[in-house]
Amino acid sequence: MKQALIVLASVVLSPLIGGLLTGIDRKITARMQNRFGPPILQPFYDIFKLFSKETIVVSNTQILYAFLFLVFNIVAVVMFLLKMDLLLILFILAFATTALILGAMATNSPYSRIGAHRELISVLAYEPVLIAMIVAIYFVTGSFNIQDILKHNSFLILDLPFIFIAFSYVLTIKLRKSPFDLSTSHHGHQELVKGITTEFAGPVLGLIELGHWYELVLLLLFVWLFFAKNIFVAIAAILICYFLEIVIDNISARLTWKIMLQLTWSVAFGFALVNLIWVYIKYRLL
Amino acid sequence: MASIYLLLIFLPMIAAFFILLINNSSFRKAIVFLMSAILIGVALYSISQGDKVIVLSHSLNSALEYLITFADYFLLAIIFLIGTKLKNKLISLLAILQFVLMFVFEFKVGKLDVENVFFVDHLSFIMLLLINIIGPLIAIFALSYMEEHEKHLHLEKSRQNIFFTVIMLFLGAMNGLVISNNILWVYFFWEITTLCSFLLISHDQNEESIKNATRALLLNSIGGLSFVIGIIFMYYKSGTVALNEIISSQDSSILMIPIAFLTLAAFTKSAQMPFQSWLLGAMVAPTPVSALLHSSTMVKAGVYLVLRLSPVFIDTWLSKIVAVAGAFTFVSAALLAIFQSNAKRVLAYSTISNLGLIIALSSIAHRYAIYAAALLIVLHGVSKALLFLCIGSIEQGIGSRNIEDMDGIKYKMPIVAFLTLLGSVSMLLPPFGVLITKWIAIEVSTQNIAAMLEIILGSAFTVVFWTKFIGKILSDGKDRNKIEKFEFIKHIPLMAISILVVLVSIFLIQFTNMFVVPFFKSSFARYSGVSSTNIKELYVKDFFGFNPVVFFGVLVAAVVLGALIYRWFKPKRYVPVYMSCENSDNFGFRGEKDKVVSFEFKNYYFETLANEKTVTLVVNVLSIALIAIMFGVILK
Repeated sequence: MKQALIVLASVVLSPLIGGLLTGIDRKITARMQNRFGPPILQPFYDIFKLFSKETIVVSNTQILYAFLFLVFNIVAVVMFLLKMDLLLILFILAFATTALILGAMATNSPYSRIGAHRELISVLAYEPVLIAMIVAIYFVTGSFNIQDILKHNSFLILDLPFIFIAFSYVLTIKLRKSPFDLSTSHHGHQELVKGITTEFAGPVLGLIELGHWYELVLLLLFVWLFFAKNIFVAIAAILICYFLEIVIDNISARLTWKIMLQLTWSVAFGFALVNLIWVYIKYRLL
Repeated sequence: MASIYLLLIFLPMIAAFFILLINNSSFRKAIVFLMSAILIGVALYSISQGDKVIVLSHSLNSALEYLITFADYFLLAIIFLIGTKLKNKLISLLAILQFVLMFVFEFKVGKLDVENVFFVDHLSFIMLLLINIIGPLIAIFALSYMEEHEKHLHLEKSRQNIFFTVIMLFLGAMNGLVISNNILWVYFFWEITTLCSFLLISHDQNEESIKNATRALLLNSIGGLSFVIGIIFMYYKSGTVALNEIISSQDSSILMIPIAFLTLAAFTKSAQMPFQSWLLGAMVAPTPVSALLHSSTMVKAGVYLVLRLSPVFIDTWLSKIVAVAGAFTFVSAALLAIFQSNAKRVLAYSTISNLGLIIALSSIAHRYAIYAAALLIVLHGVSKALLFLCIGSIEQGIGSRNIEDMDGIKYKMPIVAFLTLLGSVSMLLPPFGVLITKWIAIEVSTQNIAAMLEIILGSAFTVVFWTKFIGKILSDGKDRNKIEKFEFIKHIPLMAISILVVLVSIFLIQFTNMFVVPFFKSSFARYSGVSSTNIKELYVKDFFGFNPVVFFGVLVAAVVLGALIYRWFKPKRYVPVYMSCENSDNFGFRGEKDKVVSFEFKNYYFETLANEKTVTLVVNVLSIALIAIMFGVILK
């Protein structure tokens, strides 16, 4: 019964939180650019409008992929809140992205296909870092299960500071923010039009937007994991982390995929690796 | 009772003889169908008999002993002659070395008595299922494929009889390999598979196929020599050549040297780095050959041997290095697959990659690692058989095996495209089992941090090349004319295999309980590090809380829900793709003076970052270093 409530709450609350955060993002971004910006509830108005539009597609299968993207994201969030296996959650999250990529590749549009391939390169960049993060958490806590990880008696961040830095780094890629907004950006005027989402419109685009909100919540839950000892510290950390992402988004220009790949594999993965090895020595060998 | 095991080996060989003798299409078809039915029946019957150690009557045993000894020398002589005919001195030399070593060894130690001729346990069952169900299905598919293939070649005289002879011989040899207890017999069947693969790869008899077949023969001869040395060391270290005695041996440390040599032999057979080139070269053979080599025979012999010997060397330093070497093949083959646009090469690298994972899992001292290794042998076997046969059909349909030419294949060949999709999805996405084995691999490899890092990277590479592959199969194409006609003899085996792909994944836990757990219980019983927790049947919560039935349930529910949503969102309007409103159609835009400029988009192959050749070079050097380390570890 309790589990059913958690499932229901996470399915209903996550998009509300995700949408709200997106609204705040837009507001802050606007203020940083000396604009007044839309109201904080604007993302909700947008999505209602999207769902009230006519369904226009290039290819029928697009609807399926958009739907799968949403479903996989919801499943990942639910699994996280049911405190299941972290690695499996990561796999599910990866398949949400895969669904989106396949959706973009289903049409013959060069914009969306290039976007899809850039997204694929992003996967190549961040996936090893994310898995390394989870393995490092395992070394410290002795478990892949969130249930057991939460029983750890101190802040995870104390053991995993470099891992957290690496994670914040790939968070920028995962949230598709500058300098790593290669596959799609929040502004329509880039060289790829809207990249991976170019060919989605109306309610189908709405499904993807909704999926993004779940994704955002899940990623911030990962941040929470590092500070789970104290709920207030965790909320503060999440907000600071998210704010920093917005700042970085606004002060940097886009990099090419090659630079992204090189930077992520050297800097972020390097950071993760160093931390991974020291916790391995500390908790396994000593 | 013993006769069913003899049947498994000798019946296909007798059938092979008749197929060779009578070159008649309908006779061949009848024999292939008959043998398929018999093999499946006999294999299932032998499985129903449970674990067995078979003792033959004394006279029969020694007759077989003489027969196999003689045939073994005969086989080496044939390989020697092939070497001289190909003017490849190295092959001849390797054959002579094997011959001499074997002869001196058998002459010196006299008659090697192994009372228990056949040793059949649950690992053998897993292999028997794979060989005798997937193998015949591929053979049936090949009936239609080879006819088409020969039409393309414009042969005056059909060579199909030779082709099917070799395939039947191959299946018999594989059966022998997985049930023999005497390691000398295992070696004999091992060599037959080497010869068979040579014959199959060179089947088309053109320059390229002979060249690649020669390479396969050469690399596998290195493995053969390593196998012989392993046997000799094994005898002098432990005083026995019986597998069941070796794997229950109490002192594993003295067996390290023979195990290292046998593992090297397994590396060559399973095309591990740096021996991968022969399997890639094998792509020139007709596609059913690739399907056979990759799924139920040949390469699976190598991983079978490692898994079979695993109880002896697990959790030693040797096993740690083997795990790193296997994981290294996993990551580097996955990386190389990203550069490929040839569908068969993508599949080949994916096979090499998965075999590396199986070897790594077989040598990690963890209960679930062994489970996952055994499961992956089956899961990979069925999926890869399906994929190769599908790609073969596509190649015959559109005349190309390049992924870039597969735009719109879902319109042109809907059945095969759908089955290809199923096959590739089963290698990547949940709830199919291959993903579960990868998941287990990461979780158990935390014991071996080097292997773990390799598996982490390999896992990311795997996602990239499969997604590119799947994306292409699903993509739109200009040409939408359906060219596929339903052919019973071709499509039924495909559908049968795809049903198996789904069934194995749905009943993953039941399958594990039925076959893998008993194998683990019997083989790893003496090894306390692995089996310290009392082994019970595998319940859902033990499998990391993963329940395939629930996941498939969610999938079905999602599809139903999706169908409902689709009705709700039913597209009212189809539009062309966005081309800044300058479309002519979906495949071109209006350029200067309204002239139509067509565009196309190809997948990324990252040529600007690196290419296959450089990566291969680096990878080969590193893997040779790993093998040197592997042998360095065992030296005292």
